[in-house]
Amino acid sequence: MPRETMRNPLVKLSLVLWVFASMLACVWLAVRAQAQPSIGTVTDFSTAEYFDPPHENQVKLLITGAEAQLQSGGRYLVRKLKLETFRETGQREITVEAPECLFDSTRRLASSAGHLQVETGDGRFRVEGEGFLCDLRSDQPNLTISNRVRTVIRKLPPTQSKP
Amino acid sequence: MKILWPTLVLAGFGVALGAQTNPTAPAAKPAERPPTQITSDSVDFDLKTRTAVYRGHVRVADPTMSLSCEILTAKVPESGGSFDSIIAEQNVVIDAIDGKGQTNRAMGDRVIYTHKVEGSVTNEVIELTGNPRLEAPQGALTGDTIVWDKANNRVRATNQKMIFNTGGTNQFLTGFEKPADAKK
Repeated sequence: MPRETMRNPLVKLSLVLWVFASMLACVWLAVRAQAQPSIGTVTDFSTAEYFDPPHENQVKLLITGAEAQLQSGGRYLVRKLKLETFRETGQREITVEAPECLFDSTRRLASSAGHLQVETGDGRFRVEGEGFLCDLRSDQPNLTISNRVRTVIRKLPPTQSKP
Repeated sequence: MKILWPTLVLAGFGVALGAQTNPTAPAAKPAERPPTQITSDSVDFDLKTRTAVYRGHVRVADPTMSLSCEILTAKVPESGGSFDSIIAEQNVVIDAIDGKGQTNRAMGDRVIYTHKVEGSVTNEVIELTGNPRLEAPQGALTGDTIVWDKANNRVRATNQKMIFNTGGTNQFLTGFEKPADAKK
């Protein structure tokens, strides 16, 4: 993807949200892998995904959470969710934070009445709001932030804007 | 008028502003530009169509301009790059400060920014409809439709009326630059 394209905030946002959708799917997989259905809850969980060689020692995706509860109907309630993606250089790319997130693995919906914040690692773009619904179905991926939406687009000085 | 219209580009609803330069910043000492902020009641991001729709009390605040409307839609083409279109709807008000520190205002029910690249030609057009009005300290322009062809730096207005402020008295000019298609 051309660099100019990546500088377009909405293109970047699309990428961010795609990553967000992917990361939520990873949360589901991570929680499912770590939590036994009979237990139902895991605490202070974290999981990381690494780049392919030659950057196999570099973290690509880091997911942490204070608690994940398995609920009925294939739903997971995740508290203090934090997802971070990184470049091969180790530079943080995207951070997603939600104090609480309910993930419906059957319908592939992530939602919360609480806060959501998505921010790029370079600080160029941040969107936050209260209450969200993220539809992760591949035919109509969509994110809605329902209340008090605030988007900040920052243009950095040239020396800082280059990765 | 040339001062006013470029500010409408800034009305690219903030998302376009990331690519803008700050004309007032000293060239030798690049400083961080104050951020552009968009606030609204809600937002929908359709990842398939690459469209963001801000709804309800939409406000765009930028160091050089501010915009308010009820619905703000921005769409990015699949290939990325510049926006296909940015649309502000319902009670659109854009205030922009020109190089002299004067506030210019554009109003209308609908403002559409479109961007197309055909071959080696880039076309950028901003269209105001729904009781559009441009106000500057020197005067005002109204019409059924006001269109700025940015690539050719031309402003067209249908059924236009210009009001010049001439030191206490206003002079009205009407119908002197109707585009050909307005007569059809």
